Amino acid sequence: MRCPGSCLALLPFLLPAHLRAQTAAATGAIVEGEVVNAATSVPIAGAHLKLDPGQGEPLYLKSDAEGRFLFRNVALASYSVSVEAPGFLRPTYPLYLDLTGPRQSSICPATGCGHAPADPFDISADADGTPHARISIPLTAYAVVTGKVTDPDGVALEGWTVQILVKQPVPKTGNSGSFANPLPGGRDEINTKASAVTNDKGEFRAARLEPGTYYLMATKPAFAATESRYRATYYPHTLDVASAKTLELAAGDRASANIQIAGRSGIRIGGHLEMPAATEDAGSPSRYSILVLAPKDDHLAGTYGPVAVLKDEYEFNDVLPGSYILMAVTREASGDPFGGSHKAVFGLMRSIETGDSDRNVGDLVLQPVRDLAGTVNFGRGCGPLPVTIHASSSSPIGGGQVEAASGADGTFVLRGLGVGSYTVSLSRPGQFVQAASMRLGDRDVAAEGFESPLLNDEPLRIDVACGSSGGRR
Amino acid sequence: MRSCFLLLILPAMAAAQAGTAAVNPAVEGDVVNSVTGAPVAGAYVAGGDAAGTKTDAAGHFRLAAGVRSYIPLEVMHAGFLRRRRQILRRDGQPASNLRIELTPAAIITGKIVDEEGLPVETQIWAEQYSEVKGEKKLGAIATAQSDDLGQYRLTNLAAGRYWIRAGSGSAGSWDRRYVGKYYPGTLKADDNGQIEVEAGRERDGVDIRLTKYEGVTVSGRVERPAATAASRPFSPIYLEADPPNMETLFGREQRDGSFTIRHVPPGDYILRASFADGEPKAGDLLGEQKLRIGDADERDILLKPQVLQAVDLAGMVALKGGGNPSPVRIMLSLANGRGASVLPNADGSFVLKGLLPGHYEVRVMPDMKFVNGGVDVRNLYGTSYPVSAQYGEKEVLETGIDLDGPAAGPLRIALDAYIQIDGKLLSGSGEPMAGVLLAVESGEALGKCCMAFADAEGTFRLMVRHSGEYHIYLESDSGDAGAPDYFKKHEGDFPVLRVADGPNPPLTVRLPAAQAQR
Repeated sequence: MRCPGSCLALLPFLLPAHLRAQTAAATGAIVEGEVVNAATSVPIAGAHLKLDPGQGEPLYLKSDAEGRFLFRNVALASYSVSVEAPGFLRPTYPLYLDLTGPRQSSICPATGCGHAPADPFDISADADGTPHARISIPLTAYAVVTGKVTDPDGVALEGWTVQILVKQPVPKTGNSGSFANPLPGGRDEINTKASAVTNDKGEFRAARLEPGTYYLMATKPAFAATESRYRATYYPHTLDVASAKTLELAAGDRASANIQIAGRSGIRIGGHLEMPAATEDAGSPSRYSILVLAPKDDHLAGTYGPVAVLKDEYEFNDVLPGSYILMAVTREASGDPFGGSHKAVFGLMRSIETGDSDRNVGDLVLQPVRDLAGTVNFGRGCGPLPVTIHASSSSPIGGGQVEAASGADGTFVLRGLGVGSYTVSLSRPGQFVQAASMRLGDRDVAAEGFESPLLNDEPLRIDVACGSSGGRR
Repeated sequence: MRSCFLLLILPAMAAAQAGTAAVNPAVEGDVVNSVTGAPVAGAYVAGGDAAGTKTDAAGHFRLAAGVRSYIPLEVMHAGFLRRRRQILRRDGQPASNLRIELTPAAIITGKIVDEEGLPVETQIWAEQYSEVKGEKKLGAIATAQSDDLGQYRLTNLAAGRYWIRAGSGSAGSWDRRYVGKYYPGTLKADDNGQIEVEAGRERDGVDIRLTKYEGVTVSGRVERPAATAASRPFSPIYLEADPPNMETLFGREQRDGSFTIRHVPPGDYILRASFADGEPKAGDLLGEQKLRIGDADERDILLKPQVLQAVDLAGMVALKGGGNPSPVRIMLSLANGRGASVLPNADGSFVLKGLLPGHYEVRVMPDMKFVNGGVDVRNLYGTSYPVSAQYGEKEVLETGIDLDGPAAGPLRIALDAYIQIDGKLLSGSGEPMAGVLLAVESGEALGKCCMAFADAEGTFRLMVRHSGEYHIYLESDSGDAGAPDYFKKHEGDFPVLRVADGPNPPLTVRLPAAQAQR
């Protein structure tokens, strides 16, 4: 539609808010800056910038040949600022621009937002009063690792995951990631930073890597059978992290790393399962048992199983020497397709050390899986509040989360536990509740968690101090 | 469909059969390239619980399967389609001279770029048409991710025709005007975009350039029931393509209840405000509205979430011609896999409880029995099948039930009894053998076929719906029931079975001598 001259005057009112702002110099700000290579300070031409006000349309711009950009007539609002340039990492911290305040500044406190500078934008007023924000944005060129994963005979392996790992000091306080792998000596651990999956030619490409020192490890496909001799293998061809090679990657590096999977035969571990003697109907035909053998420390090495129990016998083949936890669960199959997961009725967790020869673990007597009853106790002056008690487990044989709500008297029962190590936490709608202590008998469950099946009916006692959030009235 | 069913059932069957095993020699055979006939070296042959093995330079393998009488053989090699084949051995019977053909996979590669030619990291789908309830629909067969260079590689494709779709991915999260596209650059799949690939061939250069699309603005207001207004947080607003295509547009309810979603391409959508954590359940607030978006903005939409009310649906199940209904489970299921199921009382009455509003499929299944934790394969069908389901005045067995608010009357389900044929499966030398039989009615849709599992004694029970002529197929060793020409190719393997109404004489199915050796 063409607009006759007379309606041009109406144009400002028909335009979206931010465009209107651009036509009214007095209400707009200038945002300018440059995008540079963090390592070399060389300007980055053609970097894409976005000022996103959240509601409404973002502003887009590209840096020029000198890496410079200039937004004019920017509406006085707050923006999140994004920068993208092919081959470069995005800024590792969020960039905010707040043009609403009397003295415009970023929302970060004086100490800064994480790695972010406290005040990434330098905001001042021009002679005519126009707010003027300036920034220099350094970007780091990312490194890329490509390579091929082959079996011991040189045949390409498809669907293997290549983990890109970094060595980090073990955090002094708090928890490591649940899949952090401690290194010998106890000072460092290995964490997964990125991963890539091999294609039909066995090739992988892991991009967007920060400069750093990396280990590589190829792990088995999760959903396809592989030869049991084949092991999760460190680059270039070793099962032992101590003899693994590292890759030193500088900004912008392109490295090649081929991994040849190591084949090593292991031993057979077998035994016999027994249901609890006192239980009625222990041999019900709708019950079935599965077992796994999970390495205690080396999470990357992978878990053996699950194996099904044929009659009462089980076996794991090609198990490497090491420390494991053997977990078994007996479930009750249900004919109801909407009946949820099959209920765990019996279970067992046992530590097992394996050596160089086949081993018969002997009879494993399963224990009934019990519910866990307990109470939540509030400190003086804050009345009992209903809270939700969560118990969660990442057990390889049916982890997950169960929860219970505490009643008016603070009592609760956690039902439907599986087999595995559980951690306990509390919540109220919309807030986190910190427990002062959680004890099961004389054990500190807050620190250690608990293992299911529980061996007795000891209650879980949770104390919530009055000062903690959620406990306050 | 059928081979999928088999795959689901057979692991359970393994459990069922585990008890009948005795000492067996190895499973031996050769793996060859189905196109060239050349041996495939280094292929991995997995045998379920048995330790797997690799083919040698001549493509030969020998699997030490121990005492197992049922072996779900899986043969794989990078660059070939994975092949599954079930081996059922009678006690003491060897399985040798197996010839297993691996088909080289077809591959499609390309690059996804934005309007400026810059790489886009996104998900790519290879889609094919299939018939769902008489309607041709595109569905994803394979998926891949484009890398930081925008390059993707769709592998493990069977030969055939594909439509390639790229999601908006990193381009869309940078600028919401970018939308997903089909190759070569259309919003909807069209015939010009189809890619035909042959086994073992790589089709490259299937590049898609994503473009920005201004689209229209969808805006309105969420009006919640007064009682719940204060107690819930603001809802995210979802605009999901109908049928879903994995690309959902988002908005957010503002303090005044308004919402705006910009840059919506034309098409059919479901607009949804959900206050539920995860899957909606009774008591949750949910607002849904179908929308057809064209070239004009959709403003002033009033989305009125309602508290989800669960309803109970009572019904009766009865056997045609009287008699006790066989033990069945009545199931109502939603497209998302949720629903309810119930075992009727002795008089056939039942109540399905806790049904949320939605479109439900009506299914009647035999009450599954378990053996050693696996499904009892002798009882896969029960003794009867549904012939009608009346909901109020309507017949709903094929169409399903739309539930919204109070139930409109009882659900009356009529069953008819199967015709049973008991029989024995024999090898070429007259030995009883275990196996899986299919009986397919001549001239009928394949969906009406039934399976029977012969145990180690070779005995089986076939259940068919009508009298007439049936072809018999043996699934145990020929594999490949999924191949389009399978039924044509094998319809002469056994003599035609003539089924009469009422009692039928025992049936003996005997393998030809040559096939028994395979």
